[in-house]
Amino acid sequence: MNILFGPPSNPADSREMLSLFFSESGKHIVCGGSTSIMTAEFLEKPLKTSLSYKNPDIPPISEIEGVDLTTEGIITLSKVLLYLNDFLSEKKLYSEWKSQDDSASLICQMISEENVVNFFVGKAENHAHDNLTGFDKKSVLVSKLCECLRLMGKQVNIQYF
Amino acid sequence: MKVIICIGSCCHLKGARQVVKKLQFLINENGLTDLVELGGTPCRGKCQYDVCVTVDDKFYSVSPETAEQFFCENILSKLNRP
Repeated sequence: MNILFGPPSNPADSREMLSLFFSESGKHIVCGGSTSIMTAEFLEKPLKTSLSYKNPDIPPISEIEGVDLTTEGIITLSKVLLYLNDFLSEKKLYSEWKSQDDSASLICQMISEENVVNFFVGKAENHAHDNLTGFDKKSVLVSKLCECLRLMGKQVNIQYF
Repeated sequence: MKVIICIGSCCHLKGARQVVKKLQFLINENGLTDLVELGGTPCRGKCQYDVCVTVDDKFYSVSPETAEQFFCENILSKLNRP
């Protein structure tokens, strides 16, 4: 599976980043607001954002034709990290995410079925995150997710743009 | 009338879900579901405000506490409903 998270540091690189992302086989997950908008523009498809909160703690999903799952970024992937860390230790939350349909649960369900996870991470600074207290910065979050996935026995590849 | 609410990271933490629920309730309670299209948007970068809401592309900053007043002033009154 392939996870796109964050626009590239140079906007001119977005076409290359997205071309590489979509050239990979397997599922495609897009995480983040700016990332979703960028992806919809690349695919020339509308971006439809739901107002359906499957979990009150996690923003709703969006839809872009050609993308398997489109989500918010930091909050969703932080929840994924929480779920995966729990899976590697006490497994108290497994019953929670294995059957729920919020974005974080859906990502974890997809991950559980895959052996290879490819991250495409844009290094553009998101100053909206400067005031997000209690959450890791994008680079730290990705690093922790990759470590978790490797401990789960997944092959993890990361490309930065 | 198209009402779009940001459900991005910052707006989520500022109470976007509560704003959504409040507006859904008020639109329904006032019989406006056929007149008001309620939708979401990912973050468009106006993170210095409260929850970002647009009404026919006009921008408003709305909190869970001000949602009802916002509804009365900018949705109900504009649809010429008392």
